[in-house]
Amino acid sequence: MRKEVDMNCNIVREKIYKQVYTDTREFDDELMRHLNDCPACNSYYKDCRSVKKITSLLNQKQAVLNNPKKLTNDILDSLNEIKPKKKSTGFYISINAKRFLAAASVCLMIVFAYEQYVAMEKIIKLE
Amino acid sequence: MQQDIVNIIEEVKSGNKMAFKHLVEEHQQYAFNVAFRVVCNEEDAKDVVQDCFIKIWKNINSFNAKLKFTTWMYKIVINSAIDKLRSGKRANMINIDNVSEKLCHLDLNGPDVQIENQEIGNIISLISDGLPEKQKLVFVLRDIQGFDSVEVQNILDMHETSVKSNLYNARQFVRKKLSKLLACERRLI
Repeated sequence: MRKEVDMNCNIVREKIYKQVYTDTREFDDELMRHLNDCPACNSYYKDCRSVKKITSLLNQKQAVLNNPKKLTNDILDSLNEIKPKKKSTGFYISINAKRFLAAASVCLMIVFAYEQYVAMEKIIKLE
Repeated sequence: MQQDIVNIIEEVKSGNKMAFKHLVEEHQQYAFNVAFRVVCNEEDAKDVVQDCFIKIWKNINSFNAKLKFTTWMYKIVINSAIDKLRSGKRANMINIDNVSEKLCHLDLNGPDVQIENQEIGNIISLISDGLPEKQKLVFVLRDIQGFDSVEVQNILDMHETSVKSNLYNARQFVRKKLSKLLACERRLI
């Protein structure tokens, strides 16, 4: 019996969470009855709404930057010894060129291996 | 607008400091907001913004024009803010009673209500201190800053499921913490 009550509470709290935070309509008559009968879930619902209310109010309150001109000047002053990193001007190889070089090196290895094989064959025949 | 920022960035890449000044003026408030919500302290947030724009100047050539500039900037802000948090400088101890009272009167409908930066910082700090780093960042960016899930994923380089699970755990942590701290929470509903 206790487990059944807990399960109901868990389901109710999931619905409360969705209702409060996703603005979907999760409440029905059965859930309202549960809220009336279960002080813990009722308290959970009120707490969730309180948090939502406070965060919404904080969301609307902007922290005001006092003396923005001074901050701008401080930032600009601190740049005097810094220069933006320049893009690398070194030797640049595109991705296609890299692929071509890789393929070429594999071909060369095959050619060298084949020549080595032919040379070995000749040596064996001579022997 | 997008074309404007592309042109400005091209100018900055060529070393134009006036263009960079324009970039800073346009974006420093946004960067400050995000930094402040993570470090919860005005001076630290300013340091983070300064550090962020220095990094932008140094690394502007590595910026990929296919990405949104603000997403790239927020990534740098978050990394700098994490460094600041890890450096161990913490905000002053918060008087919980005062913050509870402020939370109860956190009402945007009143025309004369002005919450100072530090009060906002104290409240964010109160509800998010103790969260693991990832959970804190996801919670701050998603719930307090109000970014959508995709933007949070891009800024933090996290998978969707990871963002969801971290957010869920963070919200549960904050809920438990607040339910213990706030005696007057019912008045907010």
